[in-house]
Amino acid sequence: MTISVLLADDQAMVREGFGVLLGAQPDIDVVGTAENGEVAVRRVGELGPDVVLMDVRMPVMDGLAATRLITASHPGTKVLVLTTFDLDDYVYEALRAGASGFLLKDASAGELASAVRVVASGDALISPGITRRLIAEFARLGGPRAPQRARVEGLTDRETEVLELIARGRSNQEIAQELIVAEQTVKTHVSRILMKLEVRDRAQAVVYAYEVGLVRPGE
Amino acid sequence: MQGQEITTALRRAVRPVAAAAWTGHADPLEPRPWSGRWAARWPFRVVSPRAASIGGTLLLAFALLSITAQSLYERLPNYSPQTLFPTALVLVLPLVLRLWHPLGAWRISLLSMLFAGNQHWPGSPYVVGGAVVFLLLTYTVAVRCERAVTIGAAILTLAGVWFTQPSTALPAAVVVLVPLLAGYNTRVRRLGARELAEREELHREQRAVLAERQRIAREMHDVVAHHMSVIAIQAEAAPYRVADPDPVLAKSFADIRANALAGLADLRRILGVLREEGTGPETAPQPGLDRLDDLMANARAAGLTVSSTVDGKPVPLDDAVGLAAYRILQEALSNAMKHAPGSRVDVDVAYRARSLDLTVANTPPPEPSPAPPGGSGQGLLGMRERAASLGGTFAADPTSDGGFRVAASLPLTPVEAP
Repeated sequence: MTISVLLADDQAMVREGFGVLLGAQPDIDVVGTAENGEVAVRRVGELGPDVVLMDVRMPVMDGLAATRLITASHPGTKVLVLTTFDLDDYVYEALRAGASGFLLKDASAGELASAVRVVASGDALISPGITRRLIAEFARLGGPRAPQRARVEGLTDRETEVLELIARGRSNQEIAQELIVAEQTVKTHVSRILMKLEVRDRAQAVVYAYEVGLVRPGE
Repeated sequence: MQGQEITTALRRAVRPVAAAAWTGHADPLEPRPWSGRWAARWPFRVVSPRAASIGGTLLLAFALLSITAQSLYERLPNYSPQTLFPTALVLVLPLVLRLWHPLGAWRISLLSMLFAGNQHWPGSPYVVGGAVVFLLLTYTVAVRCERAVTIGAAILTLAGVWFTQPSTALPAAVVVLVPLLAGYNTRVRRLGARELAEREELHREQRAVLAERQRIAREMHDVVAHHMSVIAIQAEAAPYRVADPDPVLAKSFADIRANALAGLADLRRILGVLREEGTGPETAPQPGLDRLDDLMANARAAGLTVSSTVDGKPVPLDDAVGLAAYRILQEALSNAMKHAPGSRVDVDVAYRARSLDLTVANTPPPEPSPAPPGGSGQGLLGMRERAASLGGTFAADPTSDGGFRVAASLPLTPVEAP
């Protein structure tokens, strides 16, 4: 099954370049492009792609606003946010807007393709590096808000433990090693956590973990 | 040799005397607002310091006039009031004149005292009202005039007291020294405070220039970074465009990409250094002249009547030129909104052979606007820096009809259409 992708960037050369790179992948199909956030939202409605590669800085409607609209109205579409390099500025805002991951525009063909596959499969593309920035951003904002214990209390101890590790940027494989369980078991925990917390994916689970104070900046 | 030294010494003494007697000027009056914790209260809120000093002077002059006239009548019973009252006026009126011409007033007061302080007429001691006026004026001269003038005034006064009433010359000289020294002290203190304020102002301006340059540098590096990332993406994509890429070409593209990535890493560091504190993430691309309509719509929404003309054949602009042009027009329109609300603004964009010329001229506001809130001049500074950063020119001047006009000329380097 091929992954359908929509490219949203205001620079034609970037859209065209990514189109060539992704078009070379047999399992990825670029179904459309958009030159600003507004067009991207419309195209998602028409085409229903699996993944949107979304530039942040666009005229008319920026990528963060478009991400907010798309993730709210099209739960099946994942958004991968593209930035030139100002990750630090957008990481928190983009995750709050519902983005599933981040990618630098200068990513190689291989990184680009694997990022699309990871996000399409429902995993978050949040590397330990990005998690560190996330922690710094939370620290800057003055730490977690009032904990919403009620929902965390719905989790079992083991699930809470897994959520903490997710929030620290660990992959399923790393979590499995750390907790000495099978990777399949971790996957089961993760899907139960997402269901109980009513969040759309890992990235949102990370945001949630910080916001309830389950993981504190600096820990 | 000795003759020359005497001449020099004489000249040194004569120059201040000449300044006090004829050639010198008082410093222009500086508006001094009320200060201290009462400044915001009634009646300080409604009465300006200047009005208060005029009112106070008139009251004091009236009182001194009646005292002086009375004293002259008593001392000189043989003279008619028609002679004595004008004499009292000449002695006291310099106090009022002091408000506008302190040094001139002092000269008149000196002359009138030489005349009406004479030991033979009206006799010793000095007429009190005239003496008080003279002492007040001596203080003012010491405050408002250069040191040379003050020294000249001291010399003339000492000569005057010795000439008019030699018997009281010594005590009179001591009394005159008091306002001279007090005034001079006040002057030194005020000059010090003003110099400090000026230095602070200069410092503030320099900081503003630096901040503006930093902002310009950040935006320009940002523009470069976007070009670099396109180079990196295109270099990565190039080998995928053909079925079987030539390994030599693929290597060449890989080199291009590696350099673009290295450039991006450097730019990232530079932008980290240039980062402005306390600004949120930027979600709009760096603007260019293609967004002129947005700018004008914004200005219209703020109540300006905006019209625009484009001369010459529009050519694609270099990003840096487009960005500078946009920022200059944005700042000029924002200045018009601030300083001339409701005015008519003409925006002219002219594509010349070698330059892009921008002119924004506004009429005076239909109603005189209150003093614009804070920081005027900052915008002009930014526009000037923008133009200078590209090697262009910038001018901002009031127009003959009371409006304002800014003009910038940015050099054009031809760019290929993408």
